[in-house]
Amino acid sequence: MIEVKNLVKTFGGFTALDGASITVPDGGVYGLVGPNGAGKSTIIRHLTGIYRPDSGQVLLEGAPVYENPEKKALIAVIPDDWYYFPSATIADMMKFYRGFYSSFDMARYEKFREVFTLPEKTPIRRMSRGMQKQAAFWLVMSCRPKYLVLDEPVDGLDPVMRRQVWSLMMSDVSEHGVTVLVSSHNLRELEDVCDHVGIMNRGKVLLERSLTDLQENIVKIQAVWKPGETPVMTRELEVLHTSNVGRVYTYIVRGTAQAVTEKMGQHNPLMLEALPLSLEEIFIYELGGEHYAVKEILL
Amino acid sequence: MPSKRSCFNRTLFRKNLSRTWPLWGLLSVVGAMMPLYFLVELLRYPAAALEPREFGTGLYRLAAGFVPGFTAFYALLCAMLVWGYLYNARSAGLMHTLPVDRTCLFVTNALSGLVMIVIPYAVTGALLCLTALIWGFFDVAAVVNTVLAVLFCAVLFSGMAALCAMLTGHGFVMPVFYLLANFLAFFLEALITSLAEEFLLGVGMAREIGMLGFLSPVIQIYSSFQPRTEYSSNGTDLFSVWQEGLWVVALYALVGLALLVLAWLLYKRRHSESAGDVVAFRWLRPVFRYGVALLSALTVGRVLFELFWVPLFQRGYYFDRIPMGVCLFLGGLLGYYIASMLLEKTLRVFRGSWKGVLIVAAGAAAVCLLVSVDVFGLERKIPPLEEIESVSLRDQGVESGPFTAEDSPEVIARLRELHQSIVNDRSYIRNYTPNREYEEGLVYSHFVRLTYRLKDGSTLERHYDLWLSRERVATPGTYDNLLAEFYQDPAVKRDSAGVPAGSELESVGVICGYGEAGYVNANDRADGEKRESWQIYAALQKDAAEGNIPGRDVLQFSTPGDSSFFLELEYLTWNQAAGAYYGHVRPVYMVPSMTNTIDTLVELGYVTRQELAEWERAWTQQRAEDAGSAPAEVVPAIPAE
Repeated sequence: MIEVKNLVKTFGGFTALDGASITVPDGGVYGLVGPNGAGKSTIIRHLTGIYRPDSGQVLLEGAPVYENPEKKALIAVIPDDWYYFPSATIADMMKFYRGFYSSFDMARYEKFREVFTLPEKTPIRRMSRGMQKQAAFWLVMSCRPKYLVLDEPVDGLDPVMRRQVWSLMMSDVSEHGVTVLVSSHNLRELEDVCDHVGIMNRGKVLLERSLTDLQENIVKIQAVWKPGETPVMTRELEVLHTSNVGRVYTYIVRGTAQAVTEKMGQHNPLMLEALPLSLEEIFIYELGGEHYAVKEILL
Repeated sequence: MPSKRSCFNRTLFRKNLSRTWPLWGLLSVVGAMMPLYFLVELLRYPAAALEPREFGTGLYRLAAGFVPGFTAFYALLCAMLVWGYLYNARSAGLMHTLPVDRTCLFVTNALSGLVMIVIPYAVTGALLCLTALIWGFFDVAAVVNTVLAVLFCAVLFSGMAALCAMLTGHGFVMPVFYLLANFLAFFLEALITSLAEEFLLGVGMAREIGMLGFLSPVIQIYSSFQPRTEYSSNGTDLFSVWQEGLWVVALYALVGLALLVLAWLLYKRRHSESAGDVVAFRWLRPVFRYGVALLSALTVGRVLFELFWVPLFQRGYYFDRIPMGVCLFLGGLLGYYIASMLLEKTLRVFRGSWKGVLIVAAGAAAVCLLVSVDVFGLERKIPPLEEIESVSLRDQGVESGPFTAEDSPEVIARLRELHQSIVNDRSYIRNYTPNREYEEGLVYSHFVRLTYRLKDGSTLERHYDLWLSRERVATPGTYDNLLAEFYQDPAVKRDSAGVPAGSELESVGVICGYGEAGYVNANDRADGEKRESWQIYAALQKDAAEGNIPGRDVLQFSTPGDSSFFLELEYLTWNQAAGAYYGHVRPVYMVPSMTNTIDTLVELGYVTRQELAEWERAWTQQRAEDAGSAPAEVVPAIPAE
């Protein structure tokens, strides 16, 4: 488990992290979302042992990460701007990673050669940004890390390769129990893969929830009532939002889909249907009033 | 996953060497050229080849002259390559995410740098040993000494470079720090002394780096680790050759190790995010800011003064305190703001900088005062007798001495007294302006330089433009009088006709003839042999022993060229720093009382008495004409037969 507790980091007079805390449970995919400058990359650099905290704790399996080779050996990272030696090829970097990570899986590296059809003997600097990103995935996933930390991972990849990469990661999660922490400024990209989400802004984590918790406790209902018989739902249910187009009413209601449809069904609607909410919608409606900032972040 | 922490990572080590091979590979190839060249020369011209010991001496000199400077430069390149990842956020990120701690990174990188330094030396050294063996000269002790010296230098300069690499986060700043680390003491001393000599009487010329010389290791190692040779008494056969001064390099290697440890401690505390910063630690920022201000004050401030104050307002030889202080302040302010801009990475550094401006102003005033009011007593400094090893006096280009404390303590006492008198009269010297007396030839200007070699190995040098008058020469206690009396000391007279202690006579040149002056080298006349030189020199020494050599008249000779007949004693003196003999020339003016020498010269056929008499007459007449008086009745110095 990854735990970040009250992490503070300042650069010069600028506070990049102001008491940020997150908890990433094992074997899941945790999405860290926030606008540019929110502090996502700073948290990731702490998690991977690059930065030393000013205060607070960054723990991996209960032990600090900074200057802890044993813990750092469990993590592999693909930063937004992955570094390779100036004249290095993929094969050179493979030897480099293999020398540091004893868990490096050569068979997997060979297998990935078919997935990432990249020239191994060409200097990486001559490759496109997307190809460089693929090379990073190829090498890092061959390290077979227990914790995979990704900073804006699929930027620069084409849609087919994005799907391919996510699929590989998901299979690692399901088959090998790998824990993935992924940061992005785009919530839509993460909603299909994450099971936990943390939202950051201005160095703080505003919200941290499990996706299941969120999805099971909020529901979108579309209903059509008989003319002149539109009931006032706020008395019986915790309605977060109501809108209508003609006679079709849309309700965002806190509660399970079953409980809410049962209650609404008692008013004899002409049509009643529970619809899934996107992650983006859940956050907006869940936090809309109290945490207006979140809405700004997401939209 | 590794469970045991290691201080060395083989992968990183191999990567460091493999990605830098063009550098050490090229240098190895270039280094290999040298022994190959020697071998080719040996094969082509076996008859003209150097005697094996001479060849060995050449190799020692090559190593001693080359290793310190080259290693200092090459260690910088290696350090820039192995520590370069610290200066880029991406590369620092990769290296610091690897499952190794900083100790492991440091040790591996430092060792990589050391090996990169050693590889070209190993290749060149092995081939040189082979060449020396073929040449017939191989000295195990010398090889061990040289290998150790190379390793020690590598450790020292690697340590310095690693420390500089840790202190900055910018690749362009690192070599600047390294250059300063090697030569800051020398630069600062030169800048401050050059400023002081514009304020203080007599100060300047020779840099007093005795105390701080150790802070410039390249210079110190170069002058300490040198081959020594022993020749036969006739100077033609090399008996033995050996190296001295390895212990100095070993001491520096210990310093290098200490610097490596310091660099490691700093690396452990260093923040990765300092990549791109001019200085990597916050506590170093004021040091950098005010250090740049100081250097800028001493350089830019001085230039401003020379450009704008000196040509327009300067009066007299010595600088004015207040305008110099203002220029130092302006120069310092420029440096302060440039340093601030580099540190803050912005041009907007002026707001709220009044405290810094005040500190710079105070610093400029302090430097100006310290230097101009002679807080350290440089102007009045005369070394105590017990600290002096030797003293020499150079007066109008003619060197007297060096007089050693062992052989001539009374002469040293005289020179100290003379020096004290000059110091006492400094106000008179400083304020004297050439007047009618000077124009009429009643006051003479002498450029005098006193050089003290002290027992701690340092040198103290003072130089003065002295004004000498007949009236003051006759007044006891004045420097004019003491200088005149100095030349009448028997030991000084003897010295004026001989080569200094510890030096070796090389040849005697005979210069005689007014108008169409001729020069004959006694060695050349004797088919390259020194026998005639020794014959003349022996006669000269006989004259000195008999008291036939007169003391110099300080009011008569202005320059050596004013004489019509003199000898030039060419002698060689061993220069410890350079590890070689340096040639010097001392003129000896001939006067009629030096009968032994004149007889020998006539006997050997260098001159005839008739020629001497004619030259003497013509010279005296010319002097009278130059002085604007009627030709005097000339009594020939050397009467014609």
